[in-house]
Amino acid sequence: MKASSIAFVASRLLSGRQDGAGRRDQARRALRGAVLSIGLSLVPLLVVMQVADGMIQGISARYVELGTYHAQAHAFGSGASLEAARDALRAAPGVRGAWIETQSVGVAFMAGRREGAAIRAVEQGFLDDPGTAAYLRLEAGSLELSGPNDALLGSALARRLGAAPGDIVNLITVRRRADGEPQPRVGIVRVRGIVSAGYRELDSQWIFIGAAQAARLLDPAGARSFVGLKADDPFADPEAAAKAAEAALVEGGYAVYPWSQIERNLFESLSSTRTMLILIMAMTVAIAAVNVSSALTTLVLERAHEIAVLKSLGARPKDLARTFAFGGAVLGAAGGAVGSCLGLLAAYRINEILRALEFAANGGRALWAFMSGGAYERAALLDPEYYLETIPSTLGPAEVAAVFGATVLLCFIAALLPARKAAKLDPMEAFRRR
Amino acid sequence: MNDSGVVCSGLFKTFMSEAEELHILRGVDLRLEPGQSASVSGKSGCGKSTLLSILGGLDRPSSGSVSVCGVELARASEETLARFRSTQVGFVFQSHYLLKDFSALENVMLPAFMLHGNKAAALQAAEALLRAVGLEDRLSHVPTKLSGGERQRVAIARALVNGPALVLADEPTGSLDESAARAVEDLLFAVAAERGAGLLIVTHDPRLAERAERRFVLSDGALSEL
Repeated sequence: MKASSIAFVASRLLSGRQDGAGRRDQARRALRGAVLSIGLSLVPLLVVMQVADGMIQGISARYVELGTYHAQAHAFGSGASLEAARDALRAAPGVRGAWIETQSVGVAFMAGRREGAAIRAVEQGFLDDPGTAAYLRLEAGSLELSGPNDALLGSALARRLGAAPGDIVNLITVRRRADGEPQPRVGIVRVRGIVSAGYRELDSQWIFIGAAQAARLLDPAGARSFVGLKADDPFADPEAAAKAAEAALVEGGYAVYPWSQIERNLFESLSSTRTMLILIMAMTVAIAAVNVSSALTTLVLERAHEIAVLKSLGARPKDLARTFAFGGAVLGAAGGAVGSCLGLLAAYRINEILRALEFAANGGRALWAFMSGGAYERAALLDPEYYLETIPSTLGPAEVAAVFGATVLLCFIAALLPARKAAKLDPMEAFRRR
Repeated sequence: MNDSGVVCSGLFKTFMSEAEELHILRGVDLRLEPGQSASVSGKSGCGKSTLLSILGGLDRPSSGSVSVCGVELARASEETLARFRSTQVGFVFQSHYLLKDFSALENVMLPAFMLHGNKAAALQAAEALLRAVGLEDRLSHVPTKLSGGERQRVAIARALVNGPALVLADEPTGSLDESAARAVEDLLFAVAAERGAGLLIVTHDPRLAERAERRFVLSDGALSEL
């Protein structure tokens, strides 16, 4: 039988016709159930893939644009100057910008409240960079460090301190005296703006100050200074970009580290978690594919007589095997199409879904509290202290296509058992049973 | 021996039941010339349908040789048997055995579509045959919407669509009332003769059996010509 004949017979056997009362037979109901189970099993898989990708990209992009830069140039030679490196890197091809940053730690306190802080002394150019602006949201005040005591506070840190633009915050750092003994140093900063990276872990730590203030407050021996650079495309080939940047520093005495190397542990951890989640979700699809095998086996048993008739009309065993294997692939494609649509819809609307679930959960809790006379406390489904405030979802057409293809293949394989059963069916036995 | 006819020699068929061996056919010999019509009568369960299934390549004899249209069926591969069923024989069963999910037109065109893969040509041939059997206004009807006589006429058209050399009919009028049965048997003999196809009918009906050029009786597993 040619492919067109196989497709024709398979489509009729799968779709069938309703009887006089508008009912379909057991096998057709099982087939519909199999398609639905495949579709539903794909929803969590696609959501995990799209949302995990979005979260990793969201977290990565935030870290890369706001934290690690696209690459960092560190001076290790005695005569190496960061200013010279910065200027050389700014002139290098493919480099969008380069700025000196000094990092240290301290304790911020205000009105009796005290919080640990990651102090970042940055240049204004870094704050003005489009990549920074894309991820660093100004919540209040101004995004400027023009004044000698100006500081920008992360939103979570500002909330904990109760700080607002214009407030004075004390910043305690440690400097070493000439004899090497540590000595606390208290500086005063004025909150010029409240900023948010959209990731609470970052927002709860960061204090941005200017370079002049850093020179007063931070101990050069205890702080870490480097040139942070941003390339035109940070994700294309970070290692190659770092090598190219290093080559631009002709004076020598510098080492350039790409973001992928600096944040290796974080990204590997995120990727491993994603892979594990996808594997678990893929298992549900494999289990759903068993339904396809089971439904097609039911169809073979219910339609044994028709299969025998097809054999009497000249269908070869391999034609029937192909018909049912093709049927399995069609079921997989139907389930894949349903699942892809539902999965993408759920992935795109994940924030709304989470909010609805949170609303429903809190509604239930409130009702229970009302009925039992207990206290009601609103709970967050996902604690924003540890997650992005808004979960991003990325469209990966290639990944969706791969999942769709794998589903079709899986169902095709699952259909091989009933296909073999159909091929081996003895027509005379089927006729005698009739 | 004529390569294009039916030649059976020493045909045995044995079934294993729970406690004993059932010898259904015991050394059946049969020769039919191409285009000849023949009938096989006998009591219920005497093996008429089994003989027909063996001649149609749906079943294999336990021993003996059977050649239909030059194809040695006893030793043929599954592939050869499928090809043989598709091109050399056409079946008309007692209960029509139409596929319920297919319309009358689709039922008739299916063997041609499966053989050649050309749907348009298959539909054309099927429509012509359905016109020939008087069902031009029933093309899109599914079997459940057809009367018993109409279903058998569809089954006859389906049996002829690939131009077989031999039509095998198993009680083709067994489930029909008198008038419908008469119409179906007239049609069967007429279209088979018109297309030069041989016709082997298994029947209880003496009147139908008498219409064949040659008449056989199967009794105690042995075939004898009247």
